[in-house]
Amino acid sequence: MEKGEEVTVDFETFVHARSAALARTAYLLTGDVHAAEDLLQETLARSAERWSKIIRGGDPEPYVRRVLYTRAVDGFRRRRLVEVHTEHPELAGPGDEADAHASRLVLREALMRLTPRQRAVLVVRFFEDRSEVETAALLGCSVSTVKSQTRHALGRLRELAPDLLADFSPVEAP
Amino acid sequence: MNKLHEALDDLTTYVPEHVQMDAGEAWRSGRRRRTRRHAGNVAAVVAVLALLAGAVVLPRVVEPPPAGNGDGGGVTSYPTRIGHQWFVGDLPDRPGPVAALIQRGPTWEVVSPTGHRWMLIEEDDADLSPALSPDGTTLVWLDRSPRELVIHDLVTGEEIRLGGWRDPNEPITGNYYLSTQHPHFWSPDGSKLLLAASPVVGHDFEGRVVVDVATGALTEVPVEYWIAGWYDDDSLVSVRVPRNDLVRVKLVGLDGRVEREVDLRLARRISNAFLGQWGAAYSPETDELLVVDRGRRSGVHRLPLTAGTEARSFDVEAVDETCAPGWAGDEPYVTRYQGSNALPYLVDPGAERFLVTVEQQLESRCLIWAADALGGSPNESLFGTSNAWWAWYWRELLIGAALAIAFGTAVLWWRRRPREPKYADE
Repeated sequence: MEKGEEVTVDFETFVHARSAALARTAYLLTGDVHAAEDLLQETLARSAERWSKIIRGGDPEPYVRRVLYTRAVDGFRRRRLVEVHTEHPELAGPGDEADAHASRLVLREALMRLTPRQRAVLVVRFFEDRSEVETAALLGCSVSTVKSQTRHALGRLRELAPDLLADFSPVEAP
Repeated sequence: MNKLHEALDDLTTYVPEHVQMDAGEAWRSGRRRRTRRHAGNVAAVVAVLALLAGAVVLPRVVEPPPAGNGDGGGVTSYPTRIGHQWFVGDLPDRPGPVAALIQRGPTWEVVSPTGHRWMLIEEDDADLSPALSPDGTTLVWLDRSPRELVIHDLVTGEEIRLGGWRDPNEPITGNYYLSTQHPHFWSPDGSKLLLAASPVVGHDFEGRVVVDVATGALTEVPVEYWIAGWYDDDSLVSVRVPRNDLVRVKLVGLDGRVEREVDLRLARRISNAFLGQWGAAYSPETDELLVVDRGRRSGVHRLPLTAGTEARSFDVEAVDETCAPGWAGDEPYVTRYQGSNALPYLVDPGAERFLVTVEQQLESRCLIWAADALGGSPNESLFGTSNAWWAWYWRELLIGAALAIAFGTAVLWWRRRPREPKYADE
């Protein structure tokens, strides 16, 4: 196998292995499967542009996730979603109770009321379970910015989904 | 594991089933982006190099090469702009035909047809009394150490030095005085130069000396009145204003014999009958005399020798009366101030304009032109005769832009380089 083909295979292998996890993060950042698809596709294209250098440094996922967050906060937010999807089949699974679906819908709507940066901070801090220092490094901002964005985001979520976060305390956070 | 994590995890449980990824398309898109990026980098480098070449190399490329091996032709054009240079080198032995001499403070510089300048002399010495032949190929000046009259061929580099010259400020030890406050006149064929010089013995300042530039031979010419130029290759035009409405012209042979005398009536009286050495210029091409009134009005009079009366007169403001008037082909010009620079200015109504513009900081005084240069075509520049600051500093602006592009490209490259986030616990 040629070297170029090996690199291609590496990329495709990575995408197949990690696309599910990346898709979930992209969804949390955008709140829409189509927007998540576009964000992830652009992130992968940008990563493919420099793939040889990325894999030379080891695990490519930190770089890919950094691009994902950066695009979600700085670049992707400039694009307005033309289509408004009122139905969200991705929130309902087979055998789910109605309450579970409703809770997901409330959380999704609440997340969408946050700013892209607040959403990104929440996802990195509480979905990826990163520390404040790690979150700051990943998003390219200061730790104090992470703290303030986290405080504002959680406060906003409590207002929008009081039942969901009633018994949640930041102390529980990593 | 906190509750928000569980909620977010639960929210995205079924998302992967609905998000479709195309790894192949992402790869191809990445390749296209990389190709565009590389092309952009190459284009930026080429643009920077092109800008640098345009700002630095191009002006030197378009500069005429030394004409030492040329066909012996003279100058046929003149610069329309003379501006600052990063470096003004000494005049080479064989620069080829040049267009003008420019006096800047105490120094004299030689100007090429494209406006490039060379230093003729750097010493604090304004009394070089230089002269440039009509075809721009021969330069004559008075060297101070030792005091010699230098006749320099700008095409072949050959030089003739004539000793024994003195000026009125020095002890009477030489053969001739050279009056540095008078213009010198070249014969139409460029073979002879009339100097405002006189033999030391007798102190006769009405006399003139003709130099044969090929041999260095000197001929004393007893002539009265002010000189306005050569009538032909063997006779001179001398001028006097006996009344303020009359100009008397004598055509004098090199032996001092008056060949013809003509009275020309002025249509408008001049306010100052003292003509002076800078007051008249004759054109063999049009057989006309140009007289500048040194009075308050700075009137310029155009007098055909054959008509006997004045053809036209014009009023021109801000004329520098210490610079000789002249002819650009068949159009008369005087030297007029533009800011702090004294520049040639065409005076004919309807065609009034400065022939050349000089950057203000050069503070040029009288320009001495090769007659064929001003009679030829202008070397037009991109900015014409604009005096805007950016028209003088376009090279610096281009280099600044090139450096800004290079810096911006470097910053972009630095910021867009692949980076991995550094975690504190790694």
